[in-house]
Amino acid sequence: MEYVLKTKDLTKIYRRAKALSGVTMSIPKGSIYGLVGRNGAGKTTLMRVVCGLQSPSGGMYELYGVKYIDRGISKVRSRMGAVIEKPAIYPDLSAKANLKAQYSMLGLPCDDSIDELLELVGLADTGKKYAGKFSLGMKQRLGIAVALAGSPDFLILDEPTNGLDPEGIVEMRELILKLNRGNGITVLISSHILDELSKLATNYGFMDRGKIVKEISVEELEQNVRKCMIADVSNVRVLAAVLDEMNVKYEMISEKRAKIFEKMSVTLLAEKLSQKGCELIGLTEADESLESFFIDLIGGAKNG
Amino acid sequence: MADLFKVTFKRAFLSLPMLIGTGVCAFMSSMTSRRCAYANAADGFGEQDAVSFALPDRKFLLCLMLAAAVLPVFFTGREMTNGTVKNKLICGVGRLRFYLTHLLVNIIMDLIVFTAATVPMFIFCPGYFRGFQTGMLVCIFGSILVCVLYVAALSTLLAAMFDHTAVSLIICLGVLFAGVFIADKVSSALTPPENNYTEMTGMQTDPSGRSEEVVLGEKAEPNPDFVGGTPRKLLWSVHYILPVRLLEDCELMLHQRTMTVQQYREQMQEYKESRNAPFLYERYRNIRTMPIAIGCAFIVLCVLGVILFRLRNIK
Repeated sequence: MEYVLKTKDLTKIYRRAKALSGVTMSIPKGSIYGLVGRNGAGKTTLMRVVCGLQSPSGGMYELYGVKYIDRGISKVRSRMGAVIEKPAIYPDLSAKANLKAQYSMLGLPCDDSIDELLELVGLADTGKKYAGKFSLGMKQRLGIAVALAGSPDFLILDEPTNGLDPEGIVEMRELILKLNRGNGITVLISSHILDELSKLATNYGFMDRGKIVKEISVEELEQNVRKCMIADVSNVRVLAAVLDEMNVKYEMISEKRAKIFEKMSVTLLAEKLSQKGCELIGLTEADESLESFFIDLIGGAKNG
Repeated sequence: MADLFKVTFKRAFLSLPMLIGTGVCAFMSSMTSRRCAYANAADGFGEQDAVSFALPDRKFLLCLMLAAAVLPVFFTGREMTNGTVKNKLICGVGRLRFYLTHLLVNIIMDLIVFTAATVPMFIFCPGYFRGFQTGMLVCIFGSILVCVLYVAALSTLLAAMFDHTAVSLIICLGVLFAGVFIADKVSSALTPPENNYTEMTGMQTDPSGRSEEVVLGEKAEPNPDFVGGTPRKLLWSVHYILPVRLLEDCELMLHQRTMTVQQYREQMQEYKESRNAPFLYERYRNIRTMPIAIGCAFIVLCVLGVILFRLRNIK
């Protein structure tokens, strides 16, 4: 598999505080990589380091196979775009002038592609209005448009839905999906709104206290968070035998508890268990989400 | 680099602070020159003091230096405040390229301001400057120019180190005024231990009964701030790299328009022999090396700026 970004034991220390402590992660090409973590977990620091805004205190990272200390890193960085924390725009220029400035800086001709880009982010009709007078959502979209100047194939977005209204969040999601599916851009995105992230990401990295606690693909996550029933029984081995007999998928959690992943007749299950001398104490439906998975994981990591 | 320079320069040149700064300096310069031209005419009728009151004074030079310091802070500082520096660094514009481009643009901006501040003097008051020897004029305006470059490098460094323009501006102005204060203290410490010799006179009556004034002796005022030994040598080094002193010397030289290089040397000799002004002699002796020292300090500031900016964590 080809990776856009690979980090190994990446560390960042600010005076006494350790913001990153050995981050190891890989972002596959063409993916939308969701970075999940609570405030202060080190998501933004990781993004800043990867973008070259801050240098790491230890470890290494490579972009498209080029190490950050190599001479060719500047050339590779020209394939990147990013919006970190707040959109970086000139408030005294219009949306078009902002893009023109970025295009000129990159040495690109200011042609129709500027209008196309404005169209793509939905700012085509802003005219000569100064970017400083835009709403937060419009600024965010302009920030993305500036990051997209030069047609990068790796986009880093730090909390792009922060402060957006529900409509803005949907628009942002659609834009990111369009960029990923239509233009093949690899996206690294962090967000607090896990439900929103779950509608986008193809890969996840869970961060806690400066470390990547777990990296999984969306398929693996679905396995973990799919809908299930939790059965509490007096003997989980008897339950396992019954479920095997009924050809039902399950997972044992403890001596008295198991997850059942398929729809089945509760009456039939209770009857069969009763026949084998096992008592069905309770049966509850569990709807595990990315949020509960994250809480379980971080809680586990904290306890561990 | 050319593309980055073009965009940066265009933004800087058309910015409001640049237009205001240039306008204010040009206005002040033209007003001073008009006063100067009027006084020059009055001088022709024997009113010699009129010229020295109308000349480009400390306020004018301070205003020029303030503009030279504030413009880079506004321009480079805004890149930091808006976060647009990130767009450049993320896209592979190296920190060295970014810093050097901004330094170059800031120097050009300050040169434009310097031109706006000096050209009107020559336009409105050519008669006054005709009195100067060309070498002397080059020395004076060259020294002012070196000070402008020094201030541009210093303010670029400060602007690139902070995330907010307001913080950079406060620190930059603080550094400027601290420089003036330190220069004053250094000057005071370098003044000889006994200074300002004044003659004590008295009236003497001769046998015929006539009274006349006679010199009874000399009285020297002690300098309580005097510093000797190795610290004095260190203070001389500080004195060398503070543009305030050089500007003061430029101001003094502007008041001596009719002086030729030969006369200048003679005056230096006079200062050397005078018990009253050995410090002045030391200062005048060093006036030719001071622009070189400040030029070196400018280069050190540029290199220091690049090193610090490369190490800086950008938020």
